[in-house]
Amino acid sequence: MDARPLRHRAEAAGMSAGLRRALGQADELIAVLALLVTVAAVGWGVVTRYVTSQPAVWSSEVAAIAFAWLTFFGASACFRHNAHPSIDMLVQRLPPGPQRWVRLGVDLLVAGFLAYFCWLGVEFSLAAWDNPTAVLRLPMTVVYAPVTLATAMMLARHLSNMRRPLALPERAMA
Amino acid sequence: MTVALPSILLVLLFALNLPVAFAIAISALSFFFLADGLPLDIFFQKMVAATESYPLLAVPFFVLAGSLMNAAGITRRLLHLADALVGHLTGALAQACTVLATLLGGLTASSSADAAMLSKLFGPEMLRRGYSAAFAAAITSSAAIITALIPPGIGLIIYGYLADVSVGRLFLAGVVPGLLLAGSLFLTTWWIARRRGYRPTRPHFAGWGEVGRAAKEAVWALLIPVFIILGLRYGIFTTTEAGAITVLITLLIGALVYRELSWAKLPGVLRETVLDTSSVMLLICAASAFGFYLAWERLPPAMASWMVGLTRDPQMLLLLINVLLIVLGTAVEGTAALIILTPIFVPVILQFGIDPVQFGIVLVTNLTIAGITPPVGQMMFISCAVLRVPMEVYTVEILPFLAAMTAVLLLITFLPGLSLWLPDLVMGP
Amino acid sequence: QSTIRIRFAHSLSTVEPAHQAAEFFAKNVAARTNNRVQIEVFPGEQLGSGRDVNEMIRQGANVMNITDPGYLSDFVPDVGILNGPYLVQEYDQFGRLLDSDWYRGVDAALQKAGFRMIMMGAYFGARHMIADRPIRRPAEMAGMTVRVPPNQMWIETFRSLGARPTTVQWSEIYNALQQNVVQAAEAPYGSLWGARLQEVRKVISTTGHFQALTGWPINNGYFNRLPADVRAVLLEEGGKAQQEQTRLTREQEAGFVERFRGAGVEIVSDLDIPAFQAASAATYKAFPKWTPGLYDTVRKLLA
Ligand code: NA
Ligand code: NA
Repeated sequence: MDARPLRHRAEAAGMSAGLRRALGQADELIAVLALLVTVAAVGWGVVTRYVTSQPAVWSSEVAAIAFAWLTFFGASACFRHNAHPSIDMLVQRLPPGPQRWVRLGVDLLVAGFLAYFCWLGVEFSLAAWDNPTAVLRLPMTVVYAPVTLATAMMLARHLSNMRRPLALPERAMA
Repeated sequence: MTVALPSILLVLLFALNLPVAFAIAISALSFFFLADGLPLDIFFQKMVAATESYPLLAVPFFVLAGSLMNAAGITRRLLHLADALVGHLTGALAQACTVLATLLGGLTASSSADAAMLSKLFGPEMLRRGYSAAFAAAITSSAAIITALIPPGIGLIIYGYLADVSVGRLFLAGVVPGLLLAGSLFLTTWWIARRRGYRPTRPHFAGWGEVGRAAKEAVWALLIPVFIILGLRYGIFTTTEAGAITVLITLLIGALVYRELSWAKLPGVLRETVLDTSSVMLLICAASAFGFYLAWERLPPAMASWMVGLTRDPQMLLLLINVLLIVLGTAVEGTAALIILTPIFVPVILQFGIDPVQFGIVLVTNLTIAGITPPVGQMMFISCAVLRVPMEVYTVEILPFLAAMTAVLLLITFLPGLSLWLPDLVMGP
Repeated sequence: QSTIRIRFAHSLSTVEPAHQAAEFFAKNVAARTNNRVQIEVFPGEQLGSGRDVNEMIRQGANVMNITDPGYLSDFVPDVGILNGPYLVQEYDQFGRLLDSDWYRGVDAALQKAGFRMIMMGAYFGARHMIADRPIRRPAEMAGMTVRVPPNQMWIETFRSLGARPTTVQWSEIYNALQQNVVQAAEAPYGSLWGARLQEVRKVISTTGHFQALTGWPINNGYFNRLPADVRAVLLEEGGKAQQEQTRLTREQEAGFVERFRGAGVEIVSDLDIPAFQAASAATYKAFPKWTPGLYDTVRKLLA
């Protein structure tokens, strides 16, 4: 699920630069759309309470589903912008050698966690197929499957962040 | 050992500089590996469950509203007005933040939503005026605590329900302690601003002429809070919904009235909102999975019952409860802790002759302050994410604010009259 | 023999009879098994919302839950009819339904879906309307914005009665009524009192639109792996706890009328119940997933 092979494939297929950029930012685009949906759904819920004969009872549920999408696709985008906070008090004081090993170990731990979380997500998404949401009666998979996909994208972003220091000379040559 | 391992692992992973959300999530996951009778899939559910919380929707709404206000020139006009009014005072911008938080407190019920709004609204301008980002995160997250006590507040309603106490009485009881908290922030800000030289922005008062011009310029911006106040007052929307409505009104005013909000600015605003929201939400998701471990092992009630057995003196009991809550509050989220602990403590304090209304104020104040104590705290997460402040820097910067608010906490713990005076006056003893 | 620890999670507060019945059950099970089986009750959504805990049970977690036919109907649609409006006049009539071949079929389907019911059908109270004016007939509810939980049965029922159901979080209900975002709410006496709604609305109309039931699921596979004697104790004590909850709820309901009056609330009980029943009948046509003819089957059992 690395983003790179996908990008290479896109190039091979002769896709436009714009489309390639859109694919590279797919997580961010989905999160932005989900954000707009939360605002629109809740706003519509308020409006219909006064304007239409029946309030839109689905609005809070749609907002909640979109909120999950927003959170996890946005979390993937955060990897690209390095926006996940951490507490760097001890490691930065280590000598460069051990420091590199600790950082590599930490990166591998996060990668392992994301891979495992993704696997749990696959299982959970399948199990949730016959578990409907409260109002719209959609399978809960509409929440869990996108979260799983977003986790896969996080993993791809994380792995490509890890490769970055090694890949630098290559890029310089190109 | 099994019981303590996730907590030990959490400290270790923090030390190794894992991103905080992943340190918390991996520690929580270790618990699911160790516990028997708990399928690992449940960990996934617990991570996602926090995003199904309707009140937390206020976070993206107010973060977005704040971004839009900045992009639409609304913030600039409001701050210009504030500057004309109080720019001659030391640390003026930070003091204005506390004032706004106190006023907002009368409208909003959730401290997380307020932290989002305040850090978005005041953060960027504070940086421009030379305040440190850590200070900005500290004052905006601390000021957000005020709303929990100035009615309406979600925490007081939950407590009233669980303790079988009048919510109306609790609401009134929160007013004086809420104002005391605001006062303590004023003093702390003044003290820090003087030492750091967060100077007044102008040598002396701007004069009523300039205030008038600034007010005229900002009249539409001022109408946003007015509209929200009226909407809440006349029951057009709930407090969570107020966030979505604020976004829509800001869009209209920014695009149609001030005409500063262009299509070109929108992608940046939306990206900023998405990154701020989701880095916070991932932390909250991980924290709620970790909270599940604490609840499953019954750690908070076990500590509470142990503590309650230590003394027969009411004052001592309250002090011990406060100490316990401060310790628990570093790692447990406010609302969860409130639900777990209220049924445990209330029967005990009633036996000790302590008024449940006063106790509710103490409990809610303490557990809301927990939202700014590292390593786990929603308002801290929000302000730090919005202002890009590393948590170790925040931890140092928040200390004077914590000290001041702890002093207020002790005052309302030992002087029941501070809480009970107003409800007794209005509703009779 | 090692001890068996079962966590019993629910979303209610400790003042509810349903919680007290859970503690009663835990105490009796411990006594009858010489503390070999330890049931620990976790009130107040400590382990997650009602829906989350049901999902945990389905996934095989070693927990029990207090749930209702509405939630269970997510997995076995037919059981949802027990939640229908004006299905019975009196709680006792449920006995005939729950002790029928029809329900034994439903129970088998629940087991297949992963839920073994330790107990099913304890009385949780009749649900009534709280508003700022009396509601004696459906017409007086026309156009009224009523807070309902996010659940199809509630939404359909209140639409059929002519109201405007809207889903507001229960935790926001006090503010929503005080600020007039919604005009009315509905719940059993105990929950209305628990949320302190008597402070913001002063008229309760005893519509009794739902006679609410609760049941206690545990994971079926986990249950079947327990020793036979433990299974027998759990089911027997579950039955006793069901009676205990019903007794406590009735006792509390009787007391609440006085407590509400004491708080200045008018209790209106001269209602045109047949009119409510007739208006809400349309609700039973809104569930396409039900077995065809389900309503008639249930009606026949009740006749
Ligand atoms: Na407030
Ligand atoms: Na904390």
